[in-house]
Amino acid sequence: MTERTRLSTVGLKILMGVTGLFLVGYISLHMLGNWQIFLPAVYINQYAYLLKSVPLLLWTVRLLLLASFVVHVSCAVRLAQIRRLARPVPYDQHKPNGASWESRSMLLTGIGLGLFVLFHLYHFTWHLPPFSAFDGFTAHLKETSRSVPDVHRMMVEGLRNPWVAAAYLLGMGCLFFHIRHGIDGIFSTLGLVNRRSFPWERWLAHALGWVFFLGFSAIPVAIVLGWVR
Amino acid sequence: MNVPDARIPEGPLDRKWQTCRDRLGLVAPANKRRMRVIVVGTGLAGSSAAASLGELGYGVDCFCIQDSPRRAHSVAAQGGINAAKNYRNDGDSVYRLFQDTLKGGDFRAREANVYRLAELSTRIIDQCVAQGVPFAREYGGLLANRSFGGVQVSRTFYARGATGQQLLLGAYGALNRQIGLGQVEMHPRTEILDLVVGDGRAQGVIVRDLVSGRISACSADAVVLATGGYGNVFALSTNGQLSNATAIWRAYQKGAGFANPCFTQIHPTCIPPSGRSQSKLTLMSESLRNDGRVWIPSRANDRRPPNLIPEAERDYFLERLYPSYGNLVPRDIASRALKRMCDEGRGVGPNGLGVYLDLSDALSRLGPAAIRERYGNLIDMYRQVTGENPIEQPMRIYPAIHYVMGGLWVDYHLMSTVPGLFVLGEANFSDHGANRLGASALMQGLADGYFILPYTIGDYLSRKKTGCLSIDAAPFRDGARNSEARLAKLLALRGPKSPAEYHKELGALLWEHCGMVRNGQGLKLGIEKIRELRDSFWKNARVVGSGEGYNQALERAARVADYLELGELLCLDALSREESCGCHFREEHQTEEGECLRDDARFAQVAVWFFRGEGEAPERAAEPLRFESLKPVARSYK
Amino acid sequence: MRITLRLWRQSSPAEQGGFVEYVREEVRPDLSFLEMLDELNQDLERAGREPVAFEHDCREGICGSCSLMINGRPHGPGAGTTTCQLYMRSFADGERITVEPFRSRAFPLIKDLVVDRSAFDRILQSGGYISVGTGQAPEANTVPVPHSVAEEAFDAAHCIGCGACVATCINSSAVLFVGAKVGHLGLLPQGKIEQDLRVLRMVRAMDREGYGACSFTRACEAVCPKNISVEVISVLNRAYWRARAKEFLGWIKPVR
Repeated sequence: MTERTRLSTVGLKILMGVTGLFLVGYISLHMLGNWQIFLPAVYINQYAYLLKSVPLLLWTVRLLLLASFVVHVSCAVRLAQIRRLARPVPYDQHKPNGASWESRSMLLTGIGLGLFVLFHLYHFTWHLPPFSAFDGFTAHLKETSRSVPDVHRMMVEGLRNPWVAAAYLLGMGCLFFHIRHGIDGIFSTLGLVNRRSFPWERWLAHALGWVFFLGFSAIPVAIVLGWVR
Repeated sequence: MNVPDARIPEGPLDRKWQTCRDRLGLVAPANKRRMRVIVVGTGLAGSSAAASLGELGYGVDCFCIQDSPRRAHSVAAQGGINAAKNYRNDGDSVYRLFQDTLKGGDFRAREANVYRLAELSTRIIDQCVAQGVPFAREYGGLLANRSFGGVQVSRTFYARGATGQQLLLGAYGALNRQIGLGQVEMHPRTEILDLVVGDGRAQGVIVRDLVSGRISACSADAVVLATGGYGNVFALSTNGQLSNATAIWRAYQKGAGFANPCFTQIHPTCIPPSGRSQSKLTLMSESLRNDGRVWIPSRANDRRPPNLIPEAERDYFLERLYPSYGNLVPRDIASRALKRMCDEGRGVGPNGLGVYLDLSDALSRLGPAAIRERYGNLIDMYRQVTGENPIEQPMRIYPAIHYVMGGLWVDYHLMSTVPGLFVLGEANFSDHGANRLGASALMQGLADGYFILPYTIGDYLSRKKTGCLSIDAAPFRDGARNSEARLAKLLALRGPKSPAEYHKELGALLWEHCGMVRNGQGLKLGIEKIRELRDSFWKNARVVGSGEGYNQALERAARVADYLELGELLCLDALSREESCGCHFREEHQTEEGECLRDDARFAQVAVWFFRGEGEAPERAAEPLRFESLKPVARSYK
Repeated sequence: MRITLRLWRQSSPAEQGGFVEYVREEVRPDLSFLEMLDELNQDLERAGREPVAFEHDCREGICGSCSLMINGRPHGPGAGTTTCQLYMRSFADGERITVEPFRSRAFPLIKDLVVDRSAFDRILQSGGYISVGTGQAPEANTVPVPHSVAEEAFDAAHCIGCGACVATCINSSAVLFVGAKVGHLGLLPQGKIEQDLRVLRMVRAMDREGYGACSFTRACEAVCPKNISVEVISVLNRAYWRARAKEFLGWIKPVR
């Protein structure tokens, strides 16, 4: 590839930011959907059935997600490679000098998040052992008296185990730090900030981080504590 | 030896430069492509010259000693650059800038040169603005000005306290563009060891790559030296550590006349010296005298902290002594007044070497925000060096060596006495006489590089009928051999003392005998001592390492060896100029009030020194100065 | 004061380097850090040993020559300063000070603490200027520039090219440096004309030198001796994607 067609480091970051933003958009909807767990079981089951009943939408979203994820991860791999090459001899002493922990650990929290996503799919989407029993959970929707997967029960059963819940919390911890810095970085990468807007965009990034962390974590916590049955 | 004709055109003063340009020979574009020019130094003068020559189509080899052209010491100039734009509507004009500069230099500069400088000043501002220099602006978006020493109008353009940096980055940008286009070949980290002269003209240079240590030759149709001043001969100065005299000293030894070496400017507002190991003195821009008031306690040995000294017991001595210019008297006047006060025992600070420069009046008038906008980086700099905050307590200042008006002699075309060797900026002697006004050095460097040399060098090149000398020719081989021999001689030194110690001793000697005040006896003694010191250097110095590879000890030693020769010439010149003018104050020649007493009958002249061989006394020749438009008067700022 | 210096010594890029310890007694607190190194070098020279190579020139914080990594921070402790403006009073009596060269692939080592930062020059040569020839300029007040724009342009233009931003960055990214130039010139009406060309060329030149990408840790801003704001990075990114989109869509000619 010539220099003009190859992605520049700035271009890589922009791709990283745009795909990241798409993923953040997705998890926002995901979180809103999940909150139906706090309502009677029928809500989330109906919602899940609705999603599954439109395969075109479901698979479009899934493929877009997959594509974003792949692009996001491959950019990260390339950037990590560039980073390693850019400093062949390490420092003996290197202070963070004002750089936050999350900003220096995007790769770590990103890997953590990736592992979590795999686990999450394994757990709730693929229902592979030891979670094969989830396949058998069904519920009846009153209106249609049709038998649909009982997502509510699956979540409650699936997250009641403190180890699993802990794994989810750990995943959300990664998400928290990854998003906190990710949003901060997206603003800069897309060239949307200046000296005067820094305080609020940083505030926004931190607020979103907390919203996602607390919003998602509330579910396993509530289940483990027995508030949701 | 005679001083060659300065080639100043006849005719009225304001037509001279035009007349000169109209008569200059031109080089056709196709011929320019075949010609090469060497530019040494990348400060304001060097960068601007190299860029402009590249734009014209010449092939340029540009050398600098630093790792990047952007680090040349012009970068450190703080206050501003003068230009006769009269944007303030306060009566400024080209003639007035000319008059101020000539008077400021105590009538020891060439009238025609100074007028040309004033004339070109306005175009410099235009050029720099077009390059993107972020000069300070008024709220309407037009350029702002401030006033500077020795002047009663506001004609100084500035970019906060880093005007030199911004102007240099402008010229460096222009240079970068030419490097990118392949017109200029840049050679950073390369030091000039010798000038090569053959067939009576400059043919090229011998250089040393400071990283590999390799010595090589570079040949060209003309050589331009823009290597800055030699103020570092005093060891403690406001100059950068790498600024040195080697290139001009070699040129002098190859036949270039050295003009007015004793004209060394002492800047009044520097942070006072603190200790033995100090490596440099930090300048606080003269622009601070716009808003700062200089004072000392009225009583001698008053050790109270400044804020406990009531207004009535403060002596604002510059305002008292020079009511019409007040704190904005020229540098030489201010420095001497300051020294007199400290000599009376009224100095402040730990060793009594210092006076207060107080911003408190301006702070209460304008508020801290406005002061920060004007002088922010100076305030930070002062705080870093001293640990004191100038917003809370007055700054302490003391004079220090800052600039040299002397340098290689050049004619109106900026050519030295060696044909084909041009000298620009601080390295030449031309425009500031015996004292430079603030904000004029930047003006001169850029005028030389952008608007004078590109014209005049063409005249020389148009008359040159032969091509470049091959680097295998005898003068180049001899030059390289001599340079190698000199370095080998230095590397063989195995005494107990480091070259840095010799440098400090030399500096102390010069400061004592050839500093702010000089006298015949002291100068003679100084010359004796410098000779002894030089002999001692070649016996007792120690230079470690080898000539191959990066060796800062060797670089320093070679420069110090040159300073030890140059220092003597400074004293010789100061001794022979039996008058006081500008920065050159001979105690034997002063008025009753302790001001300079010029002797126009005998010394309205440029002293030009010629090298006559190792161990021989140099020869002094003189170029008489004629004043047709402005009659020399006793300089008064009262 | 008593100070233990732990300095990186390496006689040439080809040789193996390592830390060497020097104990300095009676260090005066009003000595600058570089003057303290001068004293050490003087002692080494007297003893016939090679002095420590380090870069310095103006010693007033404007030339950008000095470049040391002191205790894990470029230019040592203190905000908005260069190494040459660092004074020994910033250290505690008995402190051990580790001094390393700036490390980045784009800044290869020359000797001891000296690195080659000419990569910065090459980036600027690719487009960090306004293309105006000597003599072409119109009268200076022809184009007014708002006060605030001139001030902001100065803030960015104040960069001294020392490389501290690259040195501290976990990615060894040079975007603060490049952004400062793109920001400075792009803000001014004179520089807007070539901004697209400039930013594409400079970003490509930056990548050629092997700098990493920006992950916006903002450490560069924290160590910048001239306090250049990371907003210039945002300016650079914005200018880049705009120019890149134009180039991609064929609205401007492909840039070399």
